[in-house]
Amino acid sequence: MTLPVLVGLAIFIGTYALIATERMHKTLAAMAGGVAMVLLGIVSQEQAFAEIDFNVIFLLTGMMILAGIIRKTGVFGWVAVRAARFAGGEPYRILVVLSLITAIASAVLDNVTTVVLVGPITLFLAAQLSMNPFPFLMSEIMASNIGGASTLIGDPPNLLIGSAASLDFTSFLLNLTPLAALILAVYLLAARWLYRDLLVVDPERRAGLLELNERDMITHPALLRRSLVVLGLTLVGFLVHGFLHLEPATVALTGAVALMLVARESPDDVLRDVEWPTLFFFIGLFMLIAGVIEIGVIEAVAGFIADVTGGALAATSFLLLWVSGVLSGIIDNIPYTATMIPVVQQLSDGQQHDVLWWSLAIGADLGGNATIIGASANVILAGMAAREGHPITFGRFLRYGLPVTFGSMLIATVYVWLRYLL
Amino acid sequence: MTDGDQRQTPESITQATTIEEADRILEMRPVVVRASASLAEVAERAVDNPGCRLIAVVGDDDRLVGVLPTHALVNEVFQKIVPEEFLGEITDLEAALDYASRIGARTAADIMSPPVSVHSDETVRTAFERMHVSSYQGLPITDREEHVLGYVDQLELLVVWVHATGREGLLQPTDRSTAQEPEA
Repeated sequence: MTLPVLVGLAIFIGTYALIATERMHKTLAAMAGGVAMVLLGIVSQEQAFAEIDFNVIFLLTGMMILAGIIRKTGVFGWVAVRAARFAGGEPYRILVVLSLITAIASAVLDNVTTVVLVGPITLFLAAQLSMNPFPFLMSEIMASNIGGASTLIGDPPNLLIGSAASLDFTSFLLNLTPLAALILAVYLLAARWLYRDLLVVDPERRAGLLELNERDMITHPALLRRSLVVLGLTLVGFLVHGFLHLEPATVALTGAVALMLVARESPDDVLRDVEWPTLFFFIGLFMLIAGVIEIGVIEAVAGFIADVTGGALAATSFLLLWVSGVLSGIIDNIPYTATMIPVVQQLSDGQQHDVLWWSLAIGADLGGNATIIGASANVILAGMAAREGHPITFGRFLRYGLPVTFGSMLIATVYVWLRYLL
Repeated sequence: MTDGDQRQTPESITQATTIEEADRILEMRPVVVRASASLAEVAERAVDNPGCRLIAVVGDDDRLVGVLPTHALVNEVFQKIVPEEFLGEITDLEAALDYASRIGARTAADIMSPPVSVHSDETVRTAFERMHVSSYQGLPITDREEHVLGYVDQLELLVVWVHATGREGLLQPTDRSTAQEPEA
């Protein structure tokens, strides 16, 4: 190995270690790693900057602006309270409706926004029913990661893959939405058995739920109407963006600008809600990966996988699916996906279809359900549960998360085999 | 009041007045609860002494371990009566985590804030500074071992100033039967 390769590898492994151990804020670690690649001459600044995928950055920015405005309207609370009343205070029905709301919302908005808005309502419902919120919160975590897997904009790994592989919104809808719906349906059926000892409630406690008034949850009715129109048009834009010759990022930015115009919100306030650390985390990662590509590590990894699988498409797909599932339960699935994209680009060179991309996306998205640190939504809802006085320990999460993830991965394996490889 | 020279102003008198002197004017009683007291018990104690707007929370050794503004207690109770008012306000992670802490609250210790107090030999100026910084409307008065001795309210600080200005008539109750009706 030459010196630049050793230095580049050291920067890459060091950055990953800092992100995984949380010894440093992940944005700072990624930015430091990216800048180090340039300063130490591993990659030229032109190459590093060219590697920053502005489709991803602008798509994220646009969706963050849309989510930031929409969450102020109280629409989530309205939907959740209405759904809880519809469920009539029956715990299993509440679990199903809250999970469905979380999954659908996570498919359109980012998972963190979704769980931040649904989580408090869940805690309230559980408090009203004098129940431990664990089954509800766990189901929302599972639903957010499964729902997020279903669309191009549902989970950051999908954004990365969609942009790198030129897979559009409709492709994700046709390929991943049926799988996500199937996994969620199986999970919700299994949930009745999984949480059978916890889904019991005193009948007298149900009455309080029916007194809730969902109308009071809407804080800005006029803004809500405008937001729903713009969000609807944006989703239509995602469906037809290929036809319009527009990138998804352009559609998202158009939606964001349109909503800022019609909402008459101050850009200062709206842009303050954009998660700048996340955007710069991506920028740092792209620069870091530019260095990794430059030193030839990606080619070596791709060559190793090709050797192990003998270049067989089925074996490579299953390997990618399961390795991605296992690793994204342990490490952040964003840097993992960013690293694996060039590997898959090498592996899929000359392939007729996109099965390797779908395997990577499914594994990276679903693996997040395995552990409490597997995805941001897990950490946030576990944090809320702890503050509410019902902490979810690493072990307890694992007891439920691991079998659910294993079951999801089995379903996904059969799906990939039947749909793409048979 | 503190003795002073001829050039003392109402402001300087107010500043230098000790809490012991200030508390002698209205003698407001403190509300003291144990950290382990349930919210229902805290509410009962607060209702018994409605003038006190900052409840002192003490540990098993009777030392001050926290304070609880009555508005926080009211929010806590009304969170279950009009939950929509609270749930509708949650739009970010910080608010969601804060709500999670509050919805799970069972005892005074769950919702109390860090202790703030004033000693009886400290001055009105110090008391005002602490109330201003913490945005509380009153403070427990404690000894050097942080045992609660009394309660000083913002109103008492105002009364000290009224005394210092010599306009004590302001503090006399108005006879409503003889009070002149404002002109229409």
